[in-house]
Amino acid sequence: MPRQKEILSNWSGISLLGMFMMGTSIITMAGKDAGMDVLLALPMAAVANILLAFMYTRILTLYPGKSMMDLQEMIFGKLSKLFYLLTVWIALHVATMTLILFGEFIQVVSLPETPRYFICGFIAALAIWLVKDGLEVMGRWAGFAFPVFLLIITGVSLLSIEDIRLDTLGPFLSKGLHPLLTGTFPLIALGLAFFTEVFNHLGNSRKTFRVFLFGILLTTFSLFFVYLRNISVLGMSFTQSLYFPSYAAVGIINIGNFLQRIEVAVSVNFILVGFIRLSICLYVASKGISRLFGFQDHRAITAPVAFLVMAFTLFAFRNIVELSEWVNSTYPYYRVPFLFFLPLVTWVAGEIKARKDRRKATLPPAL
Amino acid sequence: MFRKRKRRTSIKPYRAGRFAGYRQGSPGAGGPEAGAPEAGGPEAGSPETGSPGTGSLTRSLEDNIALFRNIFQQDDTLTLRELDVPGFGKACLVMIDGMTDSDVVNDNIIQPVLMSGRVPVREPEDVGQPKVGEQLKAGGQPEVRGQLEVGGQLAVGGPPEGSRLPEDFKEGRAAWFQKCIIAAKAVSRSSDVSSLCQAVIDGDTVWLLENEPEGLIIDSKGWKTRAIDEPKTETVVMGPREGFNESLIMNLTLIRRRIKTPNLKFEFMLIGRRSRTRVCICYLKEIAKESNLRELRNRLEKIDIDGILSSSYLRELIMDSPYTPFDLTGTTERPDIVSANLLEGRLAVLVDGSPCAMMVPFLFVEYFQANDDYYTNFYFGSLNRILRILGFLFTISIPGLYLSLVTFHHEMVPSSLLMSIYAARQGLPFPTVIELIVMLLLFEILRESGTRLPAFMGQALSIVGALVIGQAAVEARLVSAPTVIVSATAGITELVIPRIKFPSIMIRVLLLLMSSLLGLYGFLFGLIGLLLHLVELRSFGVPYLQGIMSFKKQDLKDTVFRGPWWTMRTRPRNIAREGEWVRQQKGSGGTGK
Repeated sequence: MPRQKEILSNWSGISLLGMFMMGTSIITMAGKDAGMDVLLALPMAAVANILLAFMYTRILTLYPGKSMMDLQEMIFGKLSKLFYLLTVWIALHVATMTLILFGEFIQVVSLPETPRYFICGFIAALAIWLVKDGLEVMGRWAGFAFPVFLLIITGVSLLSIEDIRLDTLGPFLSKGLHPLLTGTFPLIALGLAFFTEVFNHLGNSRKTFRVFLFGILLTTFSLFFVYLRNISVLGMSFTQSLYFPSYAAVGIINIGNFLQRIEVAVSVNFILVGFIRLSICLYVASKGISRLFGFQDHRAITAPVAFLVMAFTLFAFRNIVELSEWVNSTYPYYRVPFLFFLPLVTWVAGEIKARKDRRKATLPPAL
Repeated sequence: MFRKRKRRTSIKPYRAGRFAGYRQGSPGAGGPEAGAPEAGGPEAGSPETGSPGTGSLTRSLEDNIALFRNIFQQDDTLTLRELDVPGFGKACLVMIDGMTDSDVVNDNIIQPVLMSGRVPVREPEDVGQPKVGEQLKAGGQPEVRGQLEVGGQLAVGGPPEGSRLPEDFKEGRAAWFQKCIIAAKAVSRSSDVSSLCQAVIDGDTVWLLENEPEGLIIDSKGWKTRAIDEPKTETVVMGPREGFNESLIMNLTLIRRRIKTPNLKFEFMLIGRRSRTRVCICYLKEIAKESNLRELRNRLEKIDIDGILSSSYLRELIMDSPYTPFDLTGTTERPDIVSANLLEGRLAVLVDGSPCAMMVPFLFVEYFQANDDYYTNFYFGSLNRILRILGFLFTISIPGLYLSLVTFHHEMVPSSLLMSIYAARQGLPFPTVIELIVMLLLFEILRESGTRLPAFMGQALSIVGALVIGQAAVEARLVSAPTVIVSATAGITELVIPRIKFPSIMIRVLLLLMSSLLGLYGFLFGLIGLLLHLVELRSFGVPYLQGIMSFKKQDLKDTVFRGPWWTMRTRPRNIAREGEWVRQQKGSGGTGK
């Protein structure tokens, strides 16, 4: 039974994008190795993200309604399976890291005796459910959860005004440009490439870039405040030494001996956004795999793919220390071929093909 | 736009034409009551539809009477009243005792029919009033008429001046009785035994005449119905107190009296092979969405069940997602609520014999709306709405939150409160989760027994409930006092919205179980799942959560808040027909805003 085309509203798109981008940074503060310069790195990364969004928008609007994988199939034919394989691989990888971070976070901050895969199992089950319901439901879910998320961030940040010491900020660029660049790179959301599989469902394809732009700006803005709050509450060196700085920063809040120990709000936020991050990865992975093997509907293999990710979590990283080391040292560079060069090649080839098609359409048919 | 329901595939395909005749027949002249006898349709005779009898009437009255006696064997409520109509020979009235209005049968059928014999016909020897007959024969009709009138011999029921005579009716003498004699608001002719039988069952009177292959179906329905009073489940502080009763026509009247426009449409259908229940789709043409209407008809026509006793049967049969605990259709016993829904572009379905109307599409936010909100001050209405939402949130979350706080996240509880909770738990035999589950279970049992308990036993229940389970159990150190407080709070807040009772019980238990596994994280996973379920639901293609957490100004006016009437300029989105969203123009109302 062919389903009707799912349509994402603009707000759903923005919410999905925003939640995906904040996915893990909100809790781990990606780029914090740059020290104080991370606050400058955020706007720089935003500029880079917007440039990337140009490329992704172009890919999506060359043939409106077609996702990147559709485009690859049109251009490369059989060879496109190689592209799918690479996309699936990185999607699975990101999903695994997100799920491990989930499990580790909950285990470290509050349930030390509960096994990680038990916690992961619940989240994975929910993600299967969400992905099986389709993109439209996912978008609507995000549309509801994103305002809650923003509200919690704002509320918690307001409550920590008392603890904020702005004199701890600075000096900026004290060690030259190098830390700034190393801080910027992890913040560049190459994961936006996954949205070339999502935003082809946007109701109005002309607004694709606007959705990207608004999502990126909103994320940058929110992350900036979170980073600023964490650094000014905890101090830079303490922030750098923690795995989950947001959690610690909010834990300090104590208003009138009554409003205190509300760090659970941070957990709620992380779970909301991480859940969307996981679901998007799962969606892309199952979509890629179903294309790889020629299945009609990706829903049928969503659950197996999620189980695969669950299996990866058992051996991929033993704990948060390993994960964080890898994420900080290798991951920013490891993802480049998958999430940057792959779309780039598709884009260039797509432009050429689109131009050819246009010329064909305008020329009179050959005799 | 509408998701196909998987379960539908197992249901027998709808056979076209079953109700076709009915729907065409009913909205015509005479209203639904008159339309009823035409129910029958092409399949009416088959035993599967539950319709008695087949074939058509014969010319012999004896045989016809025997036929009815045979069909209604062992049914002693069947009443046969045999008449001797002067000038026409024998006739017989067939009806069911208790279903017919005796006054109608006596005054409007039997009396005119008996009197009709005084009218002259062309065989004077048969009539017994030869004189008049002779005159009639001799002169032309008009003159004779005049003479009759002057002679003063025309009695009650006889044809007035200018009327035609039995012979003028090519369709037969029955047609003459139908058109000229019987004083009932709806009379139709039929020779089809099954439709005649159905009419008798429906409370009509069937009139058979000697030597006539057609019977008359005379509308004479009349039985006692419950008075129109305020529904016990939906009381209102300020506002109309009329409620539906079990009579479909009466209920439709209550709606019609509120919306007086020819655009208010009532479409009838018959559902139920055996119960043959009349079901009415009610909507405002020009406002209701055509696609919704088509979908509703479609879903109703697909129903193939032997009996419908309440609109709740239909609700489960036409839901978009059959497995959800949430209502995807609205239910009410109040005509004012139905009217308000119709004005918003919704469709209502009323079922004969049930005081509950069903309305589609139904959105989640409607659980929290009450008709009282619109009848009282809008600040107060909004406050009450917020209280209802809080009530729902409390009732689903309090036990789960309490459990996760005291067992997993002690650090989040203020120290003094934690101390007192632990002091209360000293020496208790069971873990908190068991305590909570048992107490919640007991509360539900008390609630359920209270619902169906005769009023005079209520005293015992409240004593046992309050004293034994509450105070004594705490004093005997079986349960801790905080647990009793928590479960009682959950129970009381559950009653803020009686309609959402079942889903909230279910969600509460699920959240409690999730909390017992993973603490607040489990609780949060449960909430994520709940939101996911609510987001995936649709009622007639409209997203179930529409209007909640929307940032559009117009949407907020009638969701969490009840805006003042002069601000509610549009109907809720996606429910009414496209382009029919404005319900009042700018500048309407005294404020002129």
